[in-house]
Amino acid sequence: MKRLFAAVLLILALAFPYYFKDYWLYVGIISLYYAMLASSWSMLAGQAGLISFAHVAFAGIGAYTSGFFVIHAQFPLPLAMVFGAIASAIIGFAIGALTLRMRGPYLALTTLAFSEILRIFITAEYQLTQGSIGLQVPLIFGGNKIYSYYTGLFLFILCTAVLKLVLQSRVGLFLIAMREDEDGAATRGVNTVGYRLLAFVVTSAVAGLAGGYYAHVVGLVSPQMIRLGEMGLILAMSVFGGVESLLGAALGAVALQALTEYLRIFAEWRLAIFGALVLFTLKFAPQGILPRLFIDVEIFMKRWLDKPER
Amino acid sequence: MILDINRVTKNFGGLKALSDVSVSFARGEFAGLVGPNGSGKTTLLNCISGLYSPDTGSIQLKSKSITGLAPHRIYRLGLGRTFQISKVFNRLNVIDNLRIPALTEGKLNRQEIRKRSLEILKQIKLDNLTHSTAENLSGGQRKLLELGMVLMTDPQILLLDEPFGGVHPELKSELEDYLCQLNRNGKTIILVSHEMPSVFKICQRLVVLDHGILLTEGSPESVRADERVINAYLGGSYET
Repeated sequence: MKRLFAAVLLILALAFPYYFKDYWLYVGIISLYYAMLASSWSMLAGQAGLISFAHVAFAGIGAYTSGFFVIHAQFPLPLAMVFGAIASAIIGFAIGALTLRMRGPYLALTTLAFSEILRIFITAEYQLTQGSIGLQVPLIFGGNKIYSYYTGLFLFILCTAVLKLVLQSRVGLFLIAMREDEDGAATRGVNTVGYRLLAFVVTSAVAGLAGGYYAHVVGLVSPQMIRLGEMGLILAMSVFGGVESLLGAALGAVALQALTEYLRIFAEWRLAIFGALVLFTLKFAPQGILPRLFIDVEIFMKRWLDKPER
Repeated sequence: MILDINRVTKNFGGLKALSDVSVSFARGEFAGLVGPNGSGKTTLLNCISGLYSPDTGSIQLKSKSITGLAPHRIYRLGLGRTFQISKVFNRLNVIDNLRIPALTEGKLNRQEIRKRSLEILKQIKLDNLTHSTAENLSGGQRKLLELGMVLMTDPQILLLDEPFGGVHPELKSELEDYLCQLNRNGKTIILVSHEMPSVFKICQRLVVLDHGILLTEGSPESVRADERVINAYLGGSYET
């Protein structure tokens, strides 16, 4: 059923630009950026049990790196985006190596501090980053929205496939074991720090690639994308869609991004509405809306099939 | 000697959990590590298996220093352990729980892992629960599953922390026999248990800790007759 659902979603996603133009197509493009961030964060938090608040910071690193390579070294955009992902992975490795021996809230606090330091650094280093005004970077496909959308869709599928492959390998099993009981995993031979670091680096690279994509579809990179509020949004998207499901988190991202557009009249209050939505989800569907939906549909199908004929 | 613990001390703030403990275990030995609650038994197991790093002292496994080594490295040197409160992976099924140690070792292929898992499950009487998730097992079954996980990679030395806790009395006797069989097959076993009849029955040597200090060691008979043990641990004469 999940495969059928994924296939239907893919068809809908492929057909999206034919039914939605301009503004809503742009919303779709931005949704794909958030979908990449939410699904990779869900792997980190939901599967590996690592609560990082630096995910948007890694997207920012990817965005700025990609922008720098295009502006200063005239790299082609796709190559620059790859370099953005690599830069995020390298910095993710450095941060991870420093923090992933820590347990409990220390990782969350350290990543939060790192994210804020990076935002302040970018804002302050005007010569390099254009500060809070933002760095103008070239648009991908000259700003063609349909091509930009399909590029995003391709990157999203690529990233999700890579994350899924990792999760279905022995690494995924070890990550779940570590989340369930870290000492238990360590005393059965799992190199807990090493695998945590691997998960952190892979998800940082995905965030970096997403950031590079965002930079070249918006055409502007600013410290705004590293705000704590943005991280809160990623968290809300993942929890709403399903923090243990890559696809669920991605759909959560699309749903909340669409909702953001409808709630624009409420300005910053929409974040309060998202907060309420997250609380509602945690109370009534702690596994997320999509996994809950799958469970309900399965129960319904089972009852329907088991129903005696009259 | 397969395991040498030399003057190990471990403090938690003001609490001295282990104080200058020195003890050795011979290859193929079945030893019991006993003592009242809070005597430092589990702390010593945690120091040996790498979950705690001793404040002072050293630990050698097969003549190689393992002091301060990460738990996964100690495990790969052939030391497996179980815990007082079973550390199984609740959301995974029984087979996946068993697969994890085998996968970390990397010696067996997929079919061999499955075959070994089914053999182990049969030995620990969980072969009818292959696809149950660990969270649905009883406390005793979780203990058995944890033992199965340890046995998956055929370690030379087993540290078993309360393996009989919550196990059905009928199965307990079978488990005792199974542990003795493992020992006869060459495994060195260090058993921590409050099940004194079992300890006296199956252990060849007892090591007694009290308040983090090594009180005495010797044969079950000599330990049972030791006044210090009776005072510290049993609080009077003990009849089996």
